[in-house]
Amino acid sequence: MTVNKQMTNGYKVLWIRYGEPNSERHQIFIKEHSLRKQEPQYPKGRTLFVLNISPYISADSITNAFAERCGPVKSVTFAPRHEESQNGFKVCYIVFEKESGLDKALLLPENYVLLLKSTEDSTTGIIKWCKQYNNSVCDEEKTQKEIEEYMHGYDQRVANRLMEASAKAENRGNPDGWTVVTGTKKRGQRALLRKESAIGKVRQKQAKSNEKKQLLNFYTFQIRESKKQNLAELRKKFEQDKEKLQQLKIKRTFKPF
Amino acid sequence: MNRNSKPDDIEFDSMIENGTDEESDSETEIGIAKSSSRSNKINENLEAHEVDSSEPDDNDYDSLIENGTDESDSEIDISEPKNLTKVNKRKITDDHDVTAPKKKGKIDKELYKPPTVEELNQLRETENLFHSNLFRLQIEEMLQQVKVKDKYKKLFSTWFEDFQQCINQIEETSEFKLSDKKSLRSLNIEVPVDCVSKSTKGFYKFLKPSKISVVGSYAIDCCIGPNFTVDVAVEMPAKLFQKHDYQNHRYFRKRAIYLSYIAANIGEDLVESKKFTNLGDTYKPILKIVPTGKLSKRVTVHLHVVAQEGSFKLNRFLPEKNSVRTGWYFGEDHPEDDSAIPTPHYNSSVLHDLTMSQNNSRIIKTISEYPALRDGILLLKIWLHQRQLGRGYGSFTGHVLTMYVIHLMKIRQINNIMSSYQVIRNVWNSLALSNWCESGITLCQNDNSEPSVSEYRNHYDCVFIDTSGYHNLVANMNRTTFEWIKRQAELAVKCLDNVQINSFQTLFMTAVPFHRGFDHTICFHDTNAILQLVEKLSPRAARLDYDSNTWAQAVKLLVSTFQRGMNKRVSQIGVILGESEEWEITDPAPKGLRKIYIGFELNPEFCFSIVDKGPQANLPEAEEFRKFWGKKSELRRFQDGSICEAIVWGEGKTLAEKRSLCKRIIIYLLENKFSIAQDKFLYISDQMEELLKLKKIKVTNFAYGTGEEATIQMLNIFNELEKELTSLSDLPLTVTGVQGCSAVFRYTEVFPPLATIYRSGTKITKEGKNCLLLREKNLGMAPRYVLPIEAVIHLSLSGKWPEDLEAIRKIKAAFHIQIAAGLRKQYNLKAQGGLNYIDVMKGGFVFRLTVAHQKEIVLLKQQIGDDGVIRYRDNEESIELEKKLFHLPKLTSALHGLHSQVPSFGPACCLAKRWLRAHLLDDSHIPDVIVELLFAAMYLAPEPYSPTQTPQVAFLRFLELLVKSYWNTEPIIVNFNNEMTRQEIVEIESYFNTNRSMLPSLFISTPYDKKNSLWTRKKPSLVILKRITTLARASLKIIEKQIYDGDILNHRLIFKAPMTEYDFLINLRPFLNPRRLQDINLNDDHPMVEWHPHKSHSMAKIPVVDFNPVQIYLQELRENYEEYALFFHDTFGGHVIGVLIKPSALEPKEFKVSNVNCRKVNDDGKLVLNVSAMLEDFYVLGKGLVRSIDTQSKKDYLC
Repeated sequence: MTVNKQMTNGYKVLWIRYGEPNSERHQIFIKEHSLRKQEPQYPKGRTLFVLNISPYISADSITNAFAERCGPVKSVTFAPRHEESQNGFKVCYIVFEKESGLDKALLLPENYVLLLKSTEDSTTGIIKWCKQYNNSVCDEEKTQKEIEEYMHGYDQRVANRLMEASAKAENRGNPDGWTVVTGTKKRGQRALLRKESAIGKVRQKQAKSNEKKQLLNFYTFQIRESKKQNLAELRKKFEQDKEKLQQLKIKRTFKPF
Repeated sequence: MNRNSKPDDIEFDSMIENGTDEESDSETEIGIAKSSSRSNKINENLEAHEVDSSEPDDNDYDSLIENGTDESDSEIDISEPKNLTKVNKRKITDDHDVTAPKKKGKIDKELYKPPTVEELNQLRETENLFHSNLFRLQIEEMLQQVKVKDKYKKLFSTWFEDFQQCINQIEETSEFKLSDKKSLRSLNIEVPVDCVSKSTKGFYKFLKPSKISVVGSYAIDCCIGPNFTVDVAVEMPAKLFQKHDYQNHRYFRKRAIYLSYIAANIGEDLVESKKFTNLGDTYKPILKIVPTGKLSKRVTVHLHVVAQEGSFKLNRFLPEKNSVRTGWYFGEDHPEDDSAIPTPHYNSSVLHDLTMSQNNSRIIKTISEYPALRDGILLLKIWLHQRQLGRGYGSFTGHVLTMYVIHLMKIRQINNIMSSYQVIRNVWNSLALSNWCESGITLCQNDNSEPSVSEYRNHYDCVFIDTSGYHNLVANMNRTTFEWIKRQAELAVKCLDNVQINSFQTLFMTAVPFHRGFDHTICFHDTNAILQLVEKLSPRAARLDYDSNTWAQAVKLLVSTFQRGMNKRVSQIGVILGESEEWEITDPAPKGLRKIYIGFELNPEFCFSIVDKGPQANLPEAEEFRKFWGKKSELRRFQDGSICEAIVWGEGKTLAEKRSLCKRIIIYLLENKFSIAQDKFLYISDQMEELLKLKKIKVTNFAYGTGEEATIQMLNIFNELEKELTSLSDLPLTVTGVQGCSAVFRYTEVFPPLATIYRSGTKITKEGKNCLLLREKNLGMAPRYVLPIEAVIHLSLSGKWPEDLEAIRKIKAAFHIQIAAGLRKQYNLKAQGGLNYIDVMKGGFVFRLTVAHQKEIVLLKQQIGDDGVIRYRDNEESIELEKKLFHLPKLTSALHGLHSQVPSFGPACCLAKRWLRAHLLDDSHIPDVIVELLFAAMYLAPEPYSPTQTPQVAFLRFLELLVKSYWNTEPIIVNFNNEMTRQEIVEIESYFNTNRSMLPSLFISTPYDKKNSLWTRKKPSLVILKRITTLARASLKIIEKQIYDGDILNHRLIFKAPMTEYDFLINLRPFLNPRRLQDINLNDDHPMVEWHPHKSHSMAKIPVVDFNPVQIYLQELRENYEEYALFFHDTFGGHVIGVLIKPSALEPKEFKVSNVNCRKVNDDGKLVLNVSAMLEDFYVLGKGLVRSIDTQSKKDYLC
């Protein structure tokens, strides 16, 4: 089977086998990674871009397979297909030590079959799950220590931020030699945060107090209005019911038997 | 009544769309002159408005609104909805012009007679007279559907003329002796009523009928279509009868012979088929005719033979009179005093014929005088039909109903100007208040010569005397049947008053089959057993009276005994007869036996009590009690010191056992009182509960039942744990509360965890510090599945939580670790803290606790807008977390409360889950919570049923709900504790209707989550919903067929999933499936596994929790391959995963980077799914777990 490169947007088609030599094959698609704005970690001329890597294949087995054919591999990096999902089929960037490595990879015969071997960190199935379970039972002391460290760091960061803020405030006052005097506020008396809900509440309060000041059924026009409103609502309901009926009609739910 | 026909409807629709319409339109459409003139005025008005829209007369508008109601009564014009809507529409269009109040001007009032009078009246009137707009519109729609089409009416009238002619042409014969059978041979027909005795005297001959007429519902145009039955009465002339013909079944024999003559002489050109049948009364066979031609599709004709009025004197048939002589009937030489043995039912059977024409003409007269009643009668008939109340012998037939409506008319409870809605409401109301058993009613104008109602009461259960004053219309109705109807009427009124449900649907559109309405149902399928029972036990007088109507006698015997035996346990007994038999006219009549169904509605207050306390030992009633119960009754001393006769029905260890008590009692009664063995009847109550029992696991000294006891045990331990947690010292913040979230807390875990010792060999596990760990190499067998019981911990409030998400999580983890340490130290429990939860082992259960903190969610939601305002918006992560930590506990407690109210809730949910999972639909297709919410909706608004005490019945109702699947048109409202008001519900409904397309395919609203339908946002998908509907339909069909057949109930059939539909089957190694013992298809010869109850032991460690390789594998498959395939698996011990490739994934695709995954390039350069490699991946991912993968797809491109 020969596939025209044009048909595949310039990708070269290879096969991979995983584990045993005579298992079923997946196709992978490779191409030299070259963009106008090349990321520094994927240098031009040495990076191979690979599509359609099965979810369970590890970086190590790819490294091994390519190192064997094309010379030493510097790094293999997976990029998830979508930002959010870590699962499913992956793409990967293979960076070779030398430029010749990339050339060799691109010169691999059409429909060449790479054999990937499973490695320590690419175990699947029961063994992996057992490991996962055992790892999920965490070491309390170790975790405790980590937490303490983190919180320590966090507290410092918060303290720093506060310091900076107060320093800023002080600086602002300083140039002209003036100091800003503010009232000392107790806890809980601070100004409201600029939250949506807070703003909404204030508005509601205002509306309420406005409402209180108004007399609602004082003027004739108000009474008339409210009656009209009432009628309009009745009508609206009628219309809605009719619509619902139409829907029911469409579903033919009126045959009792 | 002028009802819209189809084409009108269309016009009417288009009008709504256009909104505006021309004058000419309205004139052509509105048929009635009065209203068209009215609408003309409206149109004029409209134009006036257009011309002069700046000055509408608001004043008038006002006065109108106020006066509106006063005028309404005189102008009711219900029959023209078309008219109404038109006016209405117009008003709305010009309403916009009017909305802003304008200054008043002096405008000619005549010209500006505001257009709203009529409309206003209509709107008000629908609220008052018709319950609601929708109700009214629906009534009209439905009546149109059931109306008999004019086409068939015309066809029938021509057919009927021919038919009359045909009968009138039958030749008259000379006289023969009644006992002479030879003369009848020439007819070639087996006369459906046989001579009881050879000594029957009398003669018969065939004379031309005195009258042939259409009677019953067709005559008054009250048939419910589209398939309908026409009753035709052929009247035998009075000349035919001799003086004593009313006696000793001679009348019946004559009638049957007359019928046979007619049957023999109806030509093939008139009828497609003619068969004998009876409507429950074996005395009275009728001829069932299917006419030829187009009529055959819709019409069946029931041919009744009746006697001409005046053939016999009516007072011969007073209920206390004897018409069957014992000497003749029993063949005795020395007859008893016959007058002492009345034959009321025999008499009423003859009277029925004699009074038929009189009653019929009365009906026709009344209905033709008051045609408005017709719709009401139709509606009531539909209601009866849906409840199977009008079916068979001694039931509340359409005839009785019509007569009752006429009776109400007579006593002025109904009048002619009432709307159909008011008619039905009044009928139900008065039916619910009436009591035909205590005080009968009569249609007869009292002339003094007629017998009084009280005389009838001594001989019949219910009394409703006809127009003649002699015939009891409900002679065959049982007291229980009447009470059943009365109760249904009560429910119907309640249903109308209940604003929270769609009463139209529940009252008219929903069928209420017998076995779903009652908690327990018995079907006596062995008719011979019934026959024997009657022969043995029925009193002589009853046999004389009923003769071959064994059914009536058996029911009398059975029901009275059941009522006595069940006492307060049962609140309602219903009896119904199996389908009537038909037989060819050349065949002899079958024995006339039909299946009997008896239904029990249990009274939850008493039905679960294990002891029946009888009278005190020294009272005379005690003797009677002992006599009734026999050896079962024993003397017992009760706690209050009394010594009473009592019967103990069981130990009452489990709820499952308590549920079966009623069954036990009934079976005892049947065996001991009637010696009917268990194979003669089918008791439908708890067969399916077997699926919730532990089949091959035994816990020493623990009665598992259907799992409720394990749940209760867990709840007790949990309460202790809660106390311990809240009293933990050494915590920066105290624990203020613990809330459960697992299904166990709702009683809906199919297999709740058990408090047992967890022991797994050293081959499988090794010991960690606090818990057991898995051996990583060569795990040959998964350890027993330990379901963690999840709960959330609430801490006391504090302002010191950090303002950073990550920091909050760390603090949470620190709390977890500290709480675990505290539990270990203070209470000596096994506990293990971690980043996300604490595992605690207590009393043999493993609890998984998580600290819930609102701030975590707040921070997840927080966004800072461009203007620096902090906003809170839901996102995927925050919703998931909030659901888990806050919504689920709330829902859990609500559902727990529901279960405590109706204890069948839990097991019913479990059955449904078992069923869904057995069909390989697991939690990822339809989550547990959704099943529970659907059940909750059903329990909270059970109409047209009442809440059931039997899980199996609830499960069948659930299937029905799935079959109906109104998901698209109606929101599911789970109104816990009636927290939502009517207004809120209406709001939700309108929100639902306007936003339908944006909402999930299944929309569930609860008081805690009104418009988001949190639980169904992603699942179930439409595909799965459809699949569930299909499965439910098939399952229900199978079960109902079994119930109708009444022989055996093999519920397992519906719990068996067809496996042929999947493309691939992944077979798993059973030993790695920790739930293998829950498998529904577990072999019977699997050895019993015994577990030991929990004992605290200082060395015990937390077992391996929630480790289920099958679930992890499924999760990996779904995460990686959900784009291409669906995976199906039975959570409860399934060994097979069904894989279905999505059709969309199979299409060849253009080469694009986004399409390459899991595909290969074919010769055309298109990308196609690399199926074989994908299967290889399945192997690789499930290494060790997967045994084999079978390909069974018929789609060749897959292989």
